[in-house]
Amino acid sequence: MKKSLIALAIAGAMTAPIVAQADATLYGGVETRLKFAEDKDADLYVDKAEMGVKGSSDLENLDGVQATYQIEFRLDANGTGDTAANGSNVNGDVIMRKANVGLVGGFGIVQVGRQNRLTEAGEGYTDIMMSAGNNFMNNDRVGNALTYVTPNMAGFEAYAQLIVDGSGDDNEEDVDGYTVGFNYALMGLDLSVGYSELNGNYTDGVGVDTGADDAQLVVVGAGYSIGDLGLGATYEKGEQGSAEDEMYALAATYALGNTTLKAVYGENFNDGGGNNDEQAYAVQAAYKLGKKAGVKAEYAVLDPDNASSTDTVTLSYYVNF
Amino acid sequence: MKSCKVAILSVALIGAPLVAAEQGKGGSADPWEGFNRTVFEFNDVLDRYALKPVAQGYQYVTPDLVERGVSNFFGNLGDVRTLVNNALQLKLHDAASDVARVTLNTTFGLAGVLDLATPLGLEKHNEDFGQTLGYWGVPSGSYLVLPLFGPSTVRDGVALVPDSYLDPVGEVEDVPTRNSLYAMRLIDTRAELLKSEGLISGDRYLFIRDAYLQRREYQVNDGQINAPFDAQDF
Repeated sequence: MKKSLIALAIAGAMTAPIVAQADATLYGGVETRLKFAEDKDADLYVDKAEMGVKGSSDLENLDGVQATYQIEFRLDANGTGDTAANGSNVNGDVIMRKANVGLVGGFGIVQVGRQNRLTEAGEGYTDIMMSAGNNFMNNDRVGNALTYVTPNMAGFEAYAQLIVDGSGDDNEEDVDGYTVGFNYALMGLDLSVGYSELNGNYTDGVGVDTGADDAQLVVVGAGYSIGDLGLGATYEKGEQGSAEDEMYALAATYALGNTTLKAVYGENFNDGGGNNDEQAYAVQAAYKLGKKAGVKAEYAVLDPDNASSTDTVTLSYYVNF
Repeated sequence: MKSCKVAILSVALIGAPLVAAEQGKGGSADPWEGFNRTVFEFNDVLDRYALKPVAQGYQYVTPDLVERGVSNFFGNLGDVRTLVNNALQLKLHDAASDVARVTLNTTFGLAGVLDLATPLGLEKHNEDFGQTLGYWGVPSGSYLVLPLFGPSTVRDGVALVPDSYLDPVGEVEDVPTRNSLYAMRLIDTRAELLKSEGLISGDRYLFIRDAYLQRREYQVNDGQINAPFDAQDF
């Protein structure tokens, strides 16, 4: 249940003559998983402990325009660095996922801050498993970003994202990267195409300094649904200097009321840093227990043709709020 | 045990027509009535003095919750057979639903002891190879009572062989464990039947035969029975 913070705002502002109508939504989720990997101990862990606040407020002085805001973070619930005697305190890193403000109006959306890297839309068609997502190249979020998304025109929307960090390779008087692309939806068919270029020294959002060369990434995704059956495909190509990675993934889903069966097959090819092509596939059954909670059972095989091949069975129970 | 089943079956199948040749007074569906009645008597005595008392005792001493768990456990194993047979009948939606059932009940349902799938809307189906053959148009053939296995038909009797390969219990390596599972399942099945036994009236043999044949017809057609009337009747 989305808990409106209006009540809180009202309680706090009882003495004020005008009640602030900031309709903020508190949201989040906790997911626990039990993983059985080949030749490994069983592992029960908190996969996700996230929460956030988001909302919008009308701008009285700018007709038809709303201001939006969002803060979202993840807590590391499995850290082992600082376990107190009572077992309640793990090292608990806070990972900032999103922190942004925006303007929404007839012109589209402008958003500034830490937010989704919009090329991820192309991955959404096949990035539907708990495991076997290792081959995706797009980092889901970027910091220091300024985004513009056009209004939706009969199913078509385009976007551009500037990444402006000012650190790393800081002597070229330019920005650190950009992302452009579009999403298109028509009669059950969805298409997402994105291109992104990042300075190799840019680390915020990517996490590591990937080297001096600029990194380019193309992400193309498509999906089609016919009744209960859904099909999806993703293709990605990443280049950085002489290194070149390619991957594709195919997905199928079948809905049975509260249950969804899913299957994904993916392959990636690595031409630059050694020849380590890899395949991965996974099947999953996901069951909704209610609107906000469910369980999932998944079997995944990574790299079946190599000695390093691993099979995993993962069970998940999650509750969102 | 699997080979033993097959042996019993082949004896029954080879023996049946020989006996039946002399009889054949039971109408078109049951030309081997004489043989069948003999086997039926044998099964009935075995049941009356061994299986039924055990099943009654089991039901008496076992808490309902445990009984339910045992039924669910074997039901989940049976869903594997149903899954494959649904696929063989090209009922892909039902087969997908069975995959979801077995997956959920085997994992979160603690090896099948809890049936979580039914309340989530994944209905339990019942399919076997006899129904698969029937679906593809194989006629049921004569009614046949198999020693130990009970009421069947030529088609359904033969179909027990492929189904036995889809029985996870048969895959259990440890013989005592496997046999215990077989025995447990037999008792569970018999205990389930206790409550419907009171319905039997008149000639026990005829009642069970007709009930069996009708039920099989119903199952093969998934409940879509040709009604004995059409537009001309009005």
